[in-house]
Amino acid sequence: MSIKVKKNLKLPYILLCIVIIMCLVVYIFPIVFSAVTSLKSPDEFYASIWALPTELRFSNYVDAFQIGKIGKYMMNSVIISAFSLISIQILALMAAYALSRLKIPHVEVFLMALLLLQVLPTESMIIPLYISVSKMHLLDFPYVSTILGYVGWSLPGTIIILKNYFDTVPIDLLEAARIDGSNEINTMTKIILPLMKAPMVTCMIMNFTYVWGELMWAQVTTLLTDEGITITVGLLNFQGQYGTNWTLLTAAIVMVIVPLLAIFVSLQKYFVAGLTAGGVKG
Amino acid sequence: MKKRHKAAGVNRKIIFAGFLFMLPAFLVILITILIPLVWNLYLSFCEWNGGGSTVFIGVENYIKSFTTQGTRDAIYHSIFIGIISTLVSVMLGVAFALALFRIQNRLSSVARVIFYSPSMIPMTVLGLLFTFIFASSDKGLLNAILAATGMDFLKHAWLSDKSTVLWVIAVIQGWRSSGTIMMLSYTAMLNIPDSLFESAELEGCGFVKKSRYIILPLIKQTIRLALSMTLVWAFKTYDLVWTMTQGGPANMSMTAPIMMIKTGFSYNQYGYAAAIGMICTVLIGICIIIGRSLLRGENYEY
Repeated sequence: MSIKVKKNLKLPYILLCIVIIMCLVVYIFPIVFSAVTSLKSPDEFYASIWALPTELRFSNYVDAFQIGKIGKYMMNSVIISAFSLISIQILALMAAYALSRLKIPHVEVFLMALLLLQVLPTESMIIPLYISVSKMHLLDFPYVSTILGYVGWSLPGTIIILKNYFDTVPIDLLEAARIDGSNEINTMTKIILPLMKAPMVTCMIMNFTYVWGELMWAQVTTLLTDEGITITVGLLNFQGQYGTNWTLLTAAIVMVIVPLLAIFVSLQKYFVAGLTAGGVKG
Repeated sequence: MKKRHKAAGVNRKIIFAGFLFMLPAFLVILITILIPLVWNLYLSFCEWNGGGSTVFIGVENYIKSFTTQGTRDAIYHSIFIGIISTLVSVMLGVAFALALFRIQNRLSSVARVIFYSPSMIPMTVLGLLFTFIFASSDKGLLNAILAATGMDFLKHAWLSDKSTVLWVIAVIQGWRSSGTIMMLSYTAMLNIPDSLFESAELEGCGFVKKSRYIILPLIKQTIRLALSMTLVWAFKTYDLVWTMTQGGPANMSMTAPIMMIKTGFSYNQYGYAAAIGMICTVLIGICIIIGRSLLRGENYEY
């Protein structure tokens, strides 16, 4: 699939590599710098921001985790992400499968509608949705209304992507299963899902990025409560509380970034495969 | 005859199952998108303070949005951020994708992960990180670097100066989206068949010519999708601004979404806030149409 690059060490090629390496340094430097800063004591930081810490001091992490409640916020975000991602995946898979393979009439109308909904900004629905969840007393329960919004807003995009992948599964496979008397749910779980690993991971990563990082809706649904505050809202509270205490703040930043990078690095093979197979176009 | 009848029955059963499969997703979309959307449209023509009754006041909220200096500025800032950050992200993303596609070695797979990483780190975290980098005191990383390299004259109060704050935000926003653009363009490039490049190589085309005449035209559809995506994201710039400046100082970096949330939830003017939301929606639509028509033209298939 790729161009065969001969092992020719031509000058433009080397220059390009050097430029990329320089960009990488620019990308990585702030994070390394934060990591180093997070190990310093405030006095050390204010003495010189360049000096390395005199000892490996993890007290900033302990403080951020306990006093700054970063641990609690992380847990909330994990719960919200897990429930949202599972619900999105199940609902979207079912709908996409129906649109692609269950002979729904006028599929193109549904697809057009989904495309439109996907582009709509959350701004145009956030206020009424807040009013309705508060009228239904859903705000009294932590997590529920936050998850509801995330699931609904992620569905159109996810359905479109998964539908395109379902289209690539040969129809004969389904017909054969139907003739053998397999019911639709069975066909979907036993035959099709195993073929859909890469696109499912792709959608999962995209939705996870959205849910984990969303701020506006998380902020709105936790306006009046201390329960179910996500990591994004939590970090802002933290920033409000500790102002420019950079050693503590950098510890919090590093604590949020590292797990995310770990997850992505371990899944990126599927992610690229999913994107490549789908040929995302618009 | 009987056979055909039976086939139609099976079909009808499948269609029924299909609608059943779509029902749960449809219900959630109905509750979270369709009903709020219609309600928001209605609310934007009313005055409502959160309690009490809603009073229908026609287009007054819209008139107010366009005549109030603060709101008009916020909308203008959003458009500015939208355009600049889309340009940054598309140029950066496509350039990175081309570079990675050109070198195709160990370095490129490492770089792919690193270049994509900003797109998956939450905006609030990036916002905090960049507040640290752009902090106006000597402890701000960028100012410290400038001081250390003897370029003191470039030192700046980046986030509290009217001439820089919007640029800083727009560029960060664009830089963040560039990861996604790079990933989409790069995977689209991997899908281009080898045969096309082989004939170009026979003709003696270098990589620059290959990208100009083969790669870019073929991934145009992907770029167009990416363009609309980043425009929408950039227009919604909320988390970044909220973390870095909260719209300040003195509303210099106020964007329309922040204006909307503040109007609604701090001042309880829900009708007015709904109108700002609707204006955002329409403007995003217009931007997408313009952006896509700029990249219009033939689509090449392979």
